[in-house]
Amino acid sequence: MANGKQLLRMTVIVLAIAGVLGFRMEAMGMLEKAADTKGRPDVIMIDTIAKIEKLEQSAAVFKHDAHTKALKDQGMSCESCHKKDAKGDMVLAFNRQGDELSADALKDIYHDGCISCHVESGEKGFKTGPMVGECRGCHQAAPEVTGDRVEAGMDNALHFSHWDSKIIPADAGKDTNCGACHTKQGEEDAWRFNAEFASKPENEAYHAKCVSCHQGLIEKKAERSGPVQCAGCHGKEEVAARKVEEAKTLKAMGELPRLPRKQPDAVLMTAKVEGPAPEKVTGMAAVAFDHKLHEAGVDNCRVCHTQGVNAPMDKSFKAMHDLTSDASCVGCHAVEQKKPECAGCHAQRPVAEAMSGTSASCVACHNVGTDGEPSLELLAAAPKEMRTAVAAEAVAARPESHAMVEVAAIPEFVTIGSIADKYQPSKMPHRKIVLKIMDGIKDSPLAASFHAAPEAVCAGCHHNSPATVTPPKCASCHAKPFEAEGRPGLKAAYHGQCMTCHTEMKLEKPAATDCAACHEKKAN
Amino acid sequence: MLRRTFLGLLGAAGASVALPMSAKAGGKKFGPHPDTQGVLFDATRCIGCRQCEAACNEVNELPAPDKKFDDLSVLDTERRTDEKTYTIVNKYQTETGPVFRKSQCNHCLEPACASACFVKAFKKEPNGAVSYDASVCVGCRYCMVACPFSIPAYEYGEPLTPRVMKCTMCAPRLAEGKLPGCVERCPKEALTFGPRDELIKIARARINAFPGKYVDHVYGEHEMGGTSWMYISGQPFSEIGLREDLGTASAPELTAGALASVPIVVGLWPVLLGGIYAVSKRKDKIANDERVMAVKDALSKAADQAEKKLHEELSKAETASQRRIEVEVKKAVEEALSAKDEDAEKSEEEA
Repeated sequence: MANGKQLLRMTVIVLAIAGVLGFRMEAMGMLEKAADTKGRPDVIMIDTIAKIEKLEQSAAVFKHDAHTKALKDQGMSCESCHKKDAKGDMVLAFNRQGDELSADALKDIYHDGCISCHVESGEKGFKTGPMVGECRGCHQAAPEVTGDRVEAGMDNALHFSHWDSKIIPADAGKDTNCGACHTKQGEEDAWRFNAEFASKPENEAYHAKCVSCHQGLIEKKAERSGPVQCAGCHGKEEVAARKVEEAKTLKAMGELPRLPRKQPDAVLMTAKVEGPAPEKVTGMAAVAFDHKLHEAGVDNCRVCHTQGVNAPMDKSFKAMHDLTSDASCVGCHAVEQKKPECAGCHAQRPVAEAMSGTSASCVACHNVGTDGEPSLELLAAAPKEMRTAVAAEAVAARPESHAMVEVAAIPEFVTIGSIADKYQPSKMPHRKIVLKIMDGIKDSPLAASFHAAPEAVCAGCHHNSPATVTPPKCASCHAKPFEAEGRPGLKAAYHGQCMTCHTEMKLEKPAATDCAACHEKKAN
Repeated sequence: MLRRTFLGLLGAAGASVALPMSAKAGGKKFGPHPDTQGVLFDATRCIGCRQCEAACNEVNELPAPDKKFDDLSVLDTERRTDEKTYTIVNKYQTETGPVFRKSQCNHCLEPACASACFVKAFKKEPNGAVSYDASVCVGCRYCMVACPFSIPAYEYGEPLTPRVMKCTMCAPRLAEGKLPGCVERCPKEALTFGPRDELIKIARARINAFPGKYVDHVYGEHEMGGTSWMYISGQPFSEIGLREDLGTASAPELTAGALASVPIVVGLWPVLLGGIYAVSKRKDKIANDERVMAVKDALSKAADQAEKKLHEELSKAETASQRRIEVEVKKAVEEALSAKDEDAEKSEEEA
């Protein structure tokens, strides 16, 4: 009997504790799994008051696209929520002119605006939002949906569809329409670098310009306009679909026309000099930079012009040669080398080799003014036109296609059998392999410029020796294992070269573990 | 100063310095043997061909496996070393695709198995190998419990002479100037054999030459006080089945403190317990003595009282008898006197 009582008491206590804990955890949002929160591109957390004072309630969850759709269904427009300013442009702030207001005033604007509209549309029989007293309907401590946006990103293709558009009127006295967005001459940088928006958050700048323009076009019944829904620019699927469309257009056109902003085709980069006629120039030989080629190769101008297209470029050694940065010349080329058709050879080259002073790769870029006229001194102090002309000349002199060793000079088969033990010698289809590698890089101007000598490709396998069509035997350096530090024995050298290259080039066959695919097993 | 005195003083100074050092239990740091050998495993090179397993099986004349060594389907299940296999290769699925890792005895610089073995069946040889002497082994299998890498295996199927089985680093082959079997057979030099300090340099050089390719750590350089087999990898070591929770202290270092206190326990406990026993015994004895004394006391008191009472009774009896005597005497006197009176009267009458 006493036992029964004790049990009952314990049960009550346990239940009480569980109940309290459960309630606490629910209140703290601990019981919600992160996986339950869905991401939508149009979710805005309204916390305007947070800039002024501490919020009394959690920020309000607002699904913008859902509201746009609901208003459309009810025959209303953007103006139900967004006022127009003196110029007739839509103000992005809700129900006000963007002037500074007190916290109480803001609270009233939102509460009156939102709730009264909810009530009205509810009365009309439409699906509607939270009403008076349903505070948690909007103010959610643990929101059911969260904002999940991709960067809208004005890449070259999207930029083209704007500046090529006939719907956006051309600037006065010009045949370009840049002025529609880039209001000031010489400020054609991305707006994030503009004085006009310097003090404002980035997204405000873009939304004020893009959305109001798109909206205006829609109101004018233009035949084409950009998106006004959040998902149009920030939705994962929508953006992916746009990229597919752009790729189709690009394929049809061959390549994008160049941006008509008088950017140079070629630029000569030289060491800095003082005065008009320097006696002596210190520094590297000049680099002729093929600006036109690189324009087509990057997503947008800001890949290299990280501070905006009108800002002076960082000309430091690091900015041009930083291996870890995608914006530097060397760093970006290193990323290119990760492509399977390059990685076979380049993944096995230590990074330090590419940047070491003994490497011949400096000359691949720094090669203008080293021999003949005009000399480095003259170039450095030359007027801009001349420099550009010299650069253009140097660029034009670059090979169109990859230099090739005569096919007949490439051994067709090479038999590897000096250390054959458990397996027969391997008959390697040498010529086939070389031609396959050449085929993979034939369209790459980067490869064509950097593999200047026809024998350069040979060095992919026949490394650490002069580039020649008659390279030394592997066994002249590779003999027994572990004899020289960092130099594999002959067996490991062969296997390392072949297998690593196959892996890096993502070749499925032969598998590295399929011994008999390269050399038959000895039958003894 | 006399030469002898000077030397004596010097010795005393030395002893006084050495005393606190030797008194500190387990604070010793051992470096590896000079020129000790080791093996470096490079996970970015291993292709999972199991050639090392085959070579190991041959050179150590181990029993034939259930599945042939060129059957790579065995890699689909994770395996561990057992009494028939000194080494195995496991396949680990990572973000970049499958990565292989060879597993075998890591030949710790200060082996846990050796420190747990109470018959010294395990020994760290100067050449790097941790050797095992089956002739002294009693089969307690403490080594298997001690090993942080779960390597030693036991011949449970041997009824008479079961042995602990683990990789020997091919010590017999090393003595002949040959490479370990697995190292010699590896087609990719995923295994590099050489002096341990050289291997660390080689590993560092590889990591520096290909910074994006490797995790910047040499596993085994410091783990468990350092091992003779070390690993470099392009994936975090925990993803290729190597424990990252072992710390850098060797097993003996971890247990030396506790073990060093064993002699103290053995020496002091008898004294301590004997003391406690003696004290409690003494207490009992004193208590007993006191009790006996108390009884004696009580007894003597009772005897005294009885005597007193007797005395009193006796004196009382004496006075009573005295009185009776007196009464009797009185009576007799009175009788005598009265008789006299009668005689006198008689005589008077007669007279």
